Amino acid sequence: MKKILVFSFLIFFMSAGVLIAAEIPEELYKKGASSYENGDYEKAVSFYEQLVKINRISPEVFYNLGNSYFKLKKTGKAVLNYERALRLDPRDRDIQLNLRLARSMSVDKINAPEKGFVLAAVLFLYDKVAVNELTAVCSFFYLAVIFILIFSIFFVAKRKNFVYTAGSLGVICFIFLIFLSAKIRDENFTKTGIITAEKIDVRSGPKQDYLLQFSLHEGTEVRIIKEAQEWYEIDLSSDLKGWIPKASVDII
Amino acid sequence: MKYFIPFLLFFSFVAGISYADDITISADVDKQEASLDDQITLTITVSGNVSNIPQPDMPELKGFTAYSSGRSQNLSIINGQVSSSVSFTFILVPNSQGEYSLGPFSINYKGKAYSTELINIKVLPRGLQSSVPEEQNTQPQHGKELFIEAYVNKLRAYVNEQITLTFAVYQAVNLFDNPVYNPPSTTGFWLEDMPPQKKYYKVINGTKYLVTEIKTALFATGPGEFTIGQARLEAAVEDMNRFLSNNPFDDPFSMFKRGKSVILATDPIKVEIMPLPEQNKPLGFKGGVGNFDISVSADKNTVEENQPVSLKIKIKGKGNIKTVSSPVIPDIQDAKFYESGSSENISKDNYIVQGEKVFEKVIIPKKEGILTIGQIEYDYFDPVLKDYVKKKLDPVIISVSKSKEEPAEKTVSVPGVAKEDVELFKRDIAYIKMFSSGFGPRNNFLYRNRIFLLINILPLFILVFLYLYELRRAKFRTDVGYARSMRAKSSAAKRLKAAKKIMDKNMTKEFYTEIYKAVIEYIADKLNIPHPSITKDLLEHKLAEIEISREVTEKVRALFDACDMARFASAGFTKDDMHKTLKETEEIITLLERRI
Repeated sequence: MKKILVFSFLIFFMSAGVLIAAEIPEELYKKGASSYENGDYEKAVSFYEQLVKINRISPEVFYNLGNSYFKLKKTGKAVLNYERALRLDPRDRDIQLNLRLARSMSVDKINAPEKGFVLAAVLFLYDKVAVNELTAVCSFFYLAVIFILIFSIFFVAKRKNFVYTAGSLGVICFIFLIFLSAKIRDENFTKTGIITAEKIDVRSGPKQDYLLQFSLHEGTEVRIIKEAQEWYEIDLSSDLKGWIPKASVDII
Repeated sequence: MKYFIPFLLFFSFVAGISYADDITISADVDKQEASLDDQITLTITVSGNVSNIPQPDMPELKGFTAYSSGRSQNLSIINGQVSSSVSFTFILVPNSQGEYSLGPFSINYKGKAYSTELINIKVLPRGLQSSVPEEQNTQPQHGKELFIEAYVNKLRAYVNEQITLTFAVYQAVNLFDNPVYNPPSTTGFWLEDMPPQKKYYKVINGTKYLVTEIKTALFATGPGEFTIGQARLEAAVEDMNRFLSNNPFDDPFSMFKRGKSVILATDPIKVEIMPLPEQNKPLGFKGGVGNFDISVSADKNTVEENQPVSLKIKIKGKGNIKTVSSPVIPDIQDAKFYESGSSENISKDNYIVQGEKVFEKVIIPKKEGILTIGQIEYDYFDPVLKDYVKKKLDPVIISVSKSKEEPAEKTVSVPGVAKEDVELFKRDIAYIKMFSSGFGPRNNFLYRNRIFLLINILPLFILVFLYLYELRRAKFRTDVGYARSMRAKSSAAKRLKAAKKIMDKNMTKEFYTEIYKAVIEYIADKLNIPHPSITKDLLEHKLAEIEISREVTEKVRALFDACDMARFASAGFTKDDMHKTLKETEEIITLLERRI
């Protein structure tokens, strides 16, 4: 009971801190929205980008920013910001729809590998849950296991039942942990970028005089494998690899 | 005549290229006199030393109906000379009696015309045998191996009443191929085929016939006298003459040849169609003739206003279902009314056209209350009763409740109205969100949050601590030696504390007793030796056993000696000595604590 009190107190404290700092972001957000309403998308972009710069973001900020870029016909930036928004709020319909629309505007057609039925079902769950949600779920099960084990110390007579329950909960927790670690690996340790330059030449090495292999267009999603000075080595899902200048791509 | 068209086409192709030379054309008939129910075989032969025989011009054959019966070609090349002849065979069926001349049949080749002589034919009245004896008679007469018959079930009928026409083929011989049935002309009637063909055997005058019946239902469209024309059958029968030829070497392949073509025709049938009586004719009569039943059903009895009700009116019975029209529904106030289509289901059991026709109507009540639909009436003429019949239905009552939605002029979906896909004019993105759920830093991940991590790790520590504690407690409970050993230091410390108090009181003897007890009990507890059995020597022995260094053992022995001495001669011990001993004892216990 005491712990819960402490915890809620901490949460209250944290949110209070956020509220104090929120005055300026709220202002910027409103300005961005009204600029968008008036059709001044450039201005809207600058307000929202400012929010991103001062590190006061939310899924809505990225979403509105994506919309503003979309209206300015900057597909790459739009896709980038929708992707960022979706990571924070993976089940939002608007974000999903707009991302799909923005993606459909991009020139490059890259075939994603076909997913099997089981994988698709698993990935469905995977795609629809944000990292923090998954973390909370894992934590919930983990804490449940711990507390049940603590109880089991005091209730010697029913220890066996407690341990079994804890064991099965532990298995669930473990499965979620696998998901979580995969997701963290994918989102925070694997760099995924969106091409924001209108058209970019992909070369065979990190220099302008290397062989031009192929070109990519705005809005295409690439995986970044390596970096060297001002260049990224990228990998496309269709087995294409090459180097592009850092400036032409934004990391989600 | 219709067979000539493909004919002409064929020859116009073939006649494309040809060489001029002798061409002869001749026409021949198998007999020059025939009765009305007889038939004549006409053969036109064109021959010449050309490979492509030009087409013969066919004049109209007055008084006859001609059927093509095939063509045969004969081509020979001798010394480079091509000579060929083509024979065209036609079956002519006389249409009326009199004298006719056939031809001339002609061909036009390279500007030259070749033609045949005229052929005169005399057509005699029906039933009269031609003067020339027939080699074979294929007239529709009983006693022959193949004949046909057509009859109707009634010669007097009302308009739109069913007349069943039966066309029967009697055969006592095998037919080559399937015979071709040419249905009679039935002007003035509505036709309804009635499959299947009925086949059965019948014995007439000692001959067993296979009878095939084709039935057709006829419904007259208006009153008057009508003629059902000739029905014809084209068949190929075995040519008995050829087959029975005396000399088998004449034509050894006769067995495999096509049989003789035969055309059979029936007599026309006159039918009298009576008009429906004007007397008693109801106003709502719409021409239904037969015997019908009518029923009505609504898909629901209670409905909200502006919601559709589907009404089905079913007319079922015998008669020309296809011409049955919808009964009139009296005007309904406070409701909109739509025709939604009709469906019919026709069967021909027992060769009587019957079935049901369902008329669907959609009614949309506009006002709450009781909606009465009816009374629905249907009038028809029953040819058996020779009178009109009126069928009345009970009114359909639908109770209409107030709509839960706002009524007004909203569009109502009517069943049967095609739904349209949402038409997408142009895709645009969803609109921006006007409110943000809050603003936080980027990468604000729970798993990186220290408080969150602490909340998660702390219970784990608690668990580990509690577990170890519980483990220790359990050991105390079960392992006496362990418990004693664990308690040894604290009980020794207690005794030393007591000794110190005694020392302050300057009670030398008691002090040393206490010191002695403290040390000896401490060692006994540590080594788990029962208290009563403790002796100085035993302890020393035990200490040696667990390999305590000599130095320590010596110290312990010295202490014990000192204690012994003080207990028996306490006078010689000052407070300083006691202090020293106490310190030594503490040292020893610390030393032992480290070793044991």
